[in-house]
Amino acid sequence: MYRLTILSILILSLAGPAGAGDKVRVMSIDNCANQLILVLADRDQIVSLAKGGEVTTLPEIKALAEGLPRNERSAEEIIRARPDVLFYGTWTGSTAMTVKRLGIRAVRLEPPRDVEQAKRQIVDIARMLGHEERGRALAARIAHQQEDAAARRPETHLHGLVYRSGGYAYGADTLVDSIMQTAGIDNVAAQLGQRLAGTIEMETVLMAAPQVLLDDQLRDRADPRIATDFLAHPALRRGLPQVARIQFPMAFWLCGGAATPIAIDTLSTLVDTHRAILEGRR
Amino acid sequence: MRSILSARPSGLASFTAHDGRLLLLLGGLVAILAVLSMVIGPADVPLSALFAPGDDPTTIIMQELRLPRVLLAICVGGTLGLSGAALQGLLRNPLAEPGLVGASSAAALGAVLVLYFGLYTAFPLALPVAAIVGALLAIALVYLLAGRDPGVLTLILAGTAVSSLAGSVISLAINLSPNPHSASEIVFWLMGSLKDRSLDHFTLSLPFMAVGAALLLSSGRALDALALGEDTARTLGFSLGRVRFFLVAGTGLAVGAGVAVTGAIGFIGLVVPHLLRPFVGHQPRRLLPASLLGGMALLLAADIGVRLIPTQLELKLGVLTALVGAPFFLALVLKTRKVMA
Repeated sequence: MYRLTILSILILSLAGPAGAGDKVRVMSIDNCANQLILVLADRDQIVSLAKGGEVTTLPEIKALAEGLPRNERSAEEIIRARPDVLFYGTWTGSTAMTVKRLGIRAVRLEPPRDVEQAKRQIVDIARMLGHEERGRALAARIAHQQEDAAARRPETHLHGLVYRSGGYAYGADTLVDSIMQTAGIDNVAAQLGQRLAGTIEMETVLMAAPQVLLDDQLRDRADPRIATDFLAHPALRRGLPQVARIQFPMAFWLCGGAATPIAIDTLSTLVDTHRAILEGRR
Repeated sequence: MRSILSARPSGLASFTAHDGRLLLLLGGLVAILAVLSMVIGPADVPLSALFAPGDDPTTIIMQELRLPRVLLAICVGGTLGLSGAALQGLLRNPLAEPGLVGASSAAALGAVLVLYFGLYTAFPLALPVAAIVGALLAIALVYLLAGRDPGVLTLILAGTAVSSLAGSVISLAINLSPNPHSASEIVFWLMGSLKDRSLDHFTLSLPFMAVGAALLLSSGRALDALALGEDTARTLGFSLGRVRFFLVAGTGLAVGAGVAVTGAIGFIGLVVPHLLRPFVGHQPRRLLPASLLGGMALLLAADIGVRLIPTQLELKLGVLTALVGAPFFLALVLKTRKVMA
């Protein structure tokens, strides 16, 4: 299913109507922008993509970047390349400001607050790239997955949260909250009053007794960091013995784009599986 | 003077009834603050939940989250206070403390390297060992740089040099972090905290802190003799090399093991001995146990403070101790300005 999704987008990319001469030349210094450009632009439109972001990009999307030039997110590279549009994000604002002063069009990619906003963003970016139809196709794909998830979703939702090393959680007005709702999980972090991303005390999580914890254990194991052992805390093991630990990597939900329909489909399937397990325990 | 020079095997003879009252008072304060620390937190949990059987969330919160927090505050605070008093005695300088002589930064560097390269997951003991090695190297380096009887300025400069060295390597680790989240983790960890520590952290660091504290507490008579000058101490039969080794090793073990599990928490070792010195007749041996208890009380109080001060994100413990300790340090520098000149 995932490969089919990416393949269909890739075919649309290759069959774009614009001629090479009048194409918008695009450059990205943001990992989420990388992902959108890869599926919405023609390869010969892409001046370069930002380096990094390997662990937060699905392998299917990452494969599309093979052979494309990469940049170090520096102003020098941007000025030399002089793209028609530069996409930047939260961490690259100062570089974008520098090149804006020199007349380069820089567009900030805001993290979408929900799936609807992600769809609108996809269409907007696709329009800027001269391929609005591709954006509309991807947005339709997401809408289709939303409808599919809604049809599979029972009336009673599971209660859960994305809980990451260091107590990091994602509350209301985040894409991950919206994906969880779509797949049938009520976000405990949002119910606890958390808005956007932030930390939630372990004590508070224990008292809230969620049914599922979504985390990224594979990434934590591959990239052990200071707060990695947080999720192995004895209090969580002992306090939430029945909790379903669902492996739901950041690559699914960090950026809105081609990963979004895959995320909705994957999480809906995981919820179905764990609901059956939880109901079997009763 | 007679009690100072006494070469009795036990140092207890020089403790007065006044000291006993002081220690009792400090011990009582530690007990009250420990109980308060157990009942303060985001979840409303009664103290009785600590002793309740079963796996109720309130019991787990008490046993797995708040108990390690309180035990670590007691151990880390106590050893920091004790180390400060011991270092001030060893260097005969009122401004010496683990943070100012670079021990905390170097211990943090050792711990950051272990955490950064993921060694902790495979080999947990590497964390306290690396931090202890860092602290020992820092104190030894400061001692070499500043000399045996350092002036205030020399000591501060040597400590600053060692801290800068450790800080620069930590900055390198932050600089080379694979992503901003990883970098912020290191930065937040460095600010020091007792939040979300487990009993595993406590058992990992306790043996090192206990040995370190024992080494420091056993050096009281030697510190009294050192207060009269190195020649006098030597005349009284103390081996200065052995005394220095005990004090440096004790501080390294205590501070290193503490920093390894809590991050860097500064100024406890500076503030506590200063507050208590007038109550023990400015005698290093009597200051040691008082500073141990005083450090426990101050860190427990600070850890309660970070939970009570209303901020969007919990205030880090090391930030609070620095906010209190830094003005204290400035006042102390002003007080000792004449010595510096």
